[in-house]
Amino acid sequence: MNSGFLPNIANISITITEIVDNLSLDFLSNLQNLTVLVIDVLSRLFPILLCIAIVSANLSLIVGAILYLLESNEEDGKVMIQRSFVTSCLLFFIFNPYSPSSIPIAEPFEGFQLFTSFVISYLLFLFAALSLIIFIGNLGFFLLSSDKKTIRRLKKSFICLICVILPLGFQFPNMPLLKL
Amino acid sequence: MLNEILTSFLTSFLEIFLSIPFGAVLTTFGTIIYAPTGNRFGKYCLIIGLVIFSLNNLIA
Repeated sequence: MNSGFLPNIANISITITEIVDNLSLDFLSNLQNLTVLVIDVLSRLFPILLCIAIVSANLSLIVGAILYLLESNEEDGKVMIQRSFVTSCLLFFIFNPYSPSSIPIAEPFEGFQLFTSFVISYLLFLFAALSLIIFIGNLGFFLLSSDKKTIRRLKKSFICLICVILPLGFQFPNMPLLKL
Repeated sequence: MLNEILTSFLTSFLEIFLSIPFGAVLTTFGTIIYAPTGNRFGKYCLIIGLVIFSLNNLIA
């Protein structure tokens, strides 16, 4: 009985090592494929997320500026302006085509991205014009009577104007055009 | 054999989570969450994405 048992164990151990080898080879190749697949999916997902991020950052900039100009929700608007201004500047500095770590955006989303950036820059342009009008009006009030309240309003409208004009860049006095 | 499996697992893990597309997705996701609401989770997403970007630029 003993003489029959020992060779069996040897056989079993040989088959187990073969199975482990095969399994691990499969596992390694699958893992390589999986990493390539995940990175591909992430790089395909990125352009849509970038469009949504630009829209959300700039829209929250406009909303924060409106809240800041209103008297009731001043603090919320201030914090919102700071957050959205910082994030839109970050997006501009990282994902413009001249930055060192830029990712080539996939072909089918190029038109979509141009369209969203056009819409956002148009909205920013409209709000910049509005805040310029408000700033000029506050300047007139300040020239008429230099109260503490008018000085504060002037300061607020100036900050608002700067925050909205800076993302537009040197484009501001001209209307933004759709470049397709 | 276990050694090889572990090393390959770790390298693929690092390949995914330190790649530029993952950092880009993380930063954009962070801005989407952080800019309108000021959520803390979005803030940390943004910071981690920026760190991944800077690491890639340091190595390359």
